[in-house]
Amino acid sequence: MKVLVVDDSSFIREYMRHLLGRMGVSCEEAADGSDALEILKTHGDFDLMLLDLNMPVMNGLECIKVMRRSKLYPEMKVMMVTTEADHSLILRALDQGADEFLMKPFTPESLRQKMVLLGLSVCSPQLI
Amino acid sequence: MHLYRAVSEAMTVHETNFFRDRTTFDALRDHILPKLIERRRSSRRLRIWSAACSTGQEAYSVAMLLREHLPQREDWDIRIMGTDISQQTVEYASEGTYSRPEVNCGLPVRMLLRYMTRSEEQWQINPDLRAMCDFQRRNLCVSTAGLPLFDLILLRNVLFYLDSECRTSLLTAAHHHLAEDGFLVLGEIEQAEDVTDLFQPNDSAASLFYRPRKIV
Ligand SMILES: C[S@@+](CC[C@H](N)C(=O)[O-])C[C@H]1O[C@@H](n2cnc3c(N)ncnc32)[C@H](O)[C@@H]1O
Repeated sequence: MKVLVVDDSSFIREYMRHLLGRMGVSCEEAADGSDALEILKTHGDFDLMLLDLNMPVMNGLECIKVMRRSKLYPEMKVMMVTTEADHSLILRALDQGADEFLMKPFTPESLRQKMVLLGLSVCSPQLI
Repeated sequence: MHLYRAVSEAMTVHETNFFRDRTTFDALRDHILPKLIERRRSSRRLRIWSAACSTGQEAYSVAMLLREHLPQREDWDIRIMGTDISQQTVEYASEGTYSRPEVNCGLPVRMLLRYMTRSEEQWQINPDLRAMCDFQRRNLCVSTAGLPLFDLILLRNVLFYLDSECRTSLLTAAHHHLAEDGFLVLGEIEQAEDVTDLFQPNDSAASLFYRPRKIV
């Protein structure tokens, strides 16, 4: 399984890489929406995109909108990962084509469970 | 608080989450609840027991599934009873207010939007869902007198806290309180050898779902 982590914080990207690694999942990183679109064009088949909302250059909502409109990898799941929790905002993200929503801060187990909800089979994070 | 109660509060693990164990809830949604709905089509009455409900997520998860999949739900008389030995968790469940880490874990976001209302850092179960559930303190090792006949009993992730005497009397009581064509559900990692005297696996031996045996 391959995951694209999109977040402007290098700290969060590093944390995600570590967590995913413990679940046996490899990932690529992007620092904002336009960076993510570039990677999608060149690197291809990701199973899941973990997408932050508030980022410079191109934010998460804009990114899914462009991506879903251009039909880039329609089968790739998109999960928003953000501190935002406003219901109308979540609804907007779902309307734009997001599949799930994980609020920051989150635990390794809640990330795993959300991935399972998306039909991605992952093992429990190993304690390292 | 009584000393006994204080000790039992401190000793028990209340860990739970919404839709805990995907395979169990998938089976409930796809097989068990549709069967029960079909069987109760004329009486339009369902009684469900979340025994050892902890902070209530199990009961509310079942309520959400019923809201999603029951046609003409308004015409049905549905009660989901949650019981737990811990007064604190029963009060928490009755309150129906959950924190960010709790709604983050296991709950599909569309269900969160549909069945809960946010206020700041708290998410409140909506009144119509809340109204389907009752919660009360109850020790599973003491008499189950006063409980009705259930169509579905969830006895998940609690058996391993109980000694063998209590397990035996509890399983006997569960058999007594389960409709002949009802189902018992155990937790995914629960040992079930002593269950099979009174209940038979619904499908395969690996099933977590049991039907009561006829005792003559
Ligand atoms: C791990 S939780 C399980 C919650 C839920 N059924 C689930 O599977 O997610 C176990 C619960 O069993 C309760 N419990 C332990 N012993 C009990 C007893 N003798 N009678 C009733 N509840 C008990 C604890 O208070 C705790 O909330």
